[in-house]
Amino acid sequence: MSNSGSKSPAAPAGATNTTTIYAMSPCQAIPGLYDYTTNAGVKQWAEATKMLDDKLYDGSSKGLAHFLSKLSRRTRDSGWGNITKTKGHNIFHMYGLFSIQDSRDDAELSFQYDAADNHVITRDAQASWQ
Amino acid sequence: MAVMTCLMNSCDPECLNNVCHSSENHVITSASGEVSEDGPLFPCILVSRIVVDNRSTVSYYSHQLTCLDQLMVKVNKNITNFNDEVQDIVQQLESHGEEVNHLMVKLFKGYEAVFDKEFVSYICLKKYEYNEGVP
Repeated sequence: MSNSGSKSPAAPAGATNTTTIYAMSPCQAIPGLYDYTTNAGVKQWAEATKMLDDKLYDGSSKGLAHFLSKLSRRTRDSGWGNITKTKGHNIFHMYGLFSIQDSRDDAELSFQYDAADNHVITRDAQASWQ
Repeated sequence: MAVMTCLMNSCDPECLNNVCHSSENHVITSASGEVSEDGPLFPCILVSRIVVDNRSTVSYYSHQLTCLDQLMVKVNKNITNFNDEVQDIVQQLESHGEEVNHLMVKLFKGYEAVFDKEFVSYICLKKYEYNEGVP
């Protein structure tokens, strides 16, 4: 980890000056859009899309809380926070406070187009539907 | 698409079918007619398929929480199952924006419904400490 303190020792002569990015989660380590043709992008994709648990979720009410908790943690690590809110409520913990239609309206809003009718690609769009 | 891929990798086929074949699906259509699967919409529909939600949901769960002694009998005095059930009730209430107050007091009522004398006396001790404010 780099530390840009004022009293840091001088680098040895001839050493290249590299910057190490300190990030709280893997998603923060890559600035801007993910480029899935790069090594870092592929790693990010693999990390974000891997199985949430050892066992597949069977859709039972018993396992719902555990599944949502795992998904919530993945959301935090992968930087999906903006798209997992509906009407300002977290969809994993406050799902009783909005309807499916509210979620659908939010999802449709994430389809953004520029003047030339092309998709506007954002981090959220990459995670959501791209 | 990352969210959707993660969900596809984490749910079994039956669970995925439950959402994909429901009247509400997670496919959205843009203004220009483009169709796409939306990842965040999927868990919302999944929850709606699992959790029965209507106007009486909050009052039902609130009532459940006040009768934890009955719940203890219902789960055959199995403490682990009882704790899981209570956790579910609390989660359901919190998901509707309800605050759960004095949970400990309600839990004591449930634990006291167990026949095991040793366990009940332990709970009585804990209740005493709670009431006296012992940390």
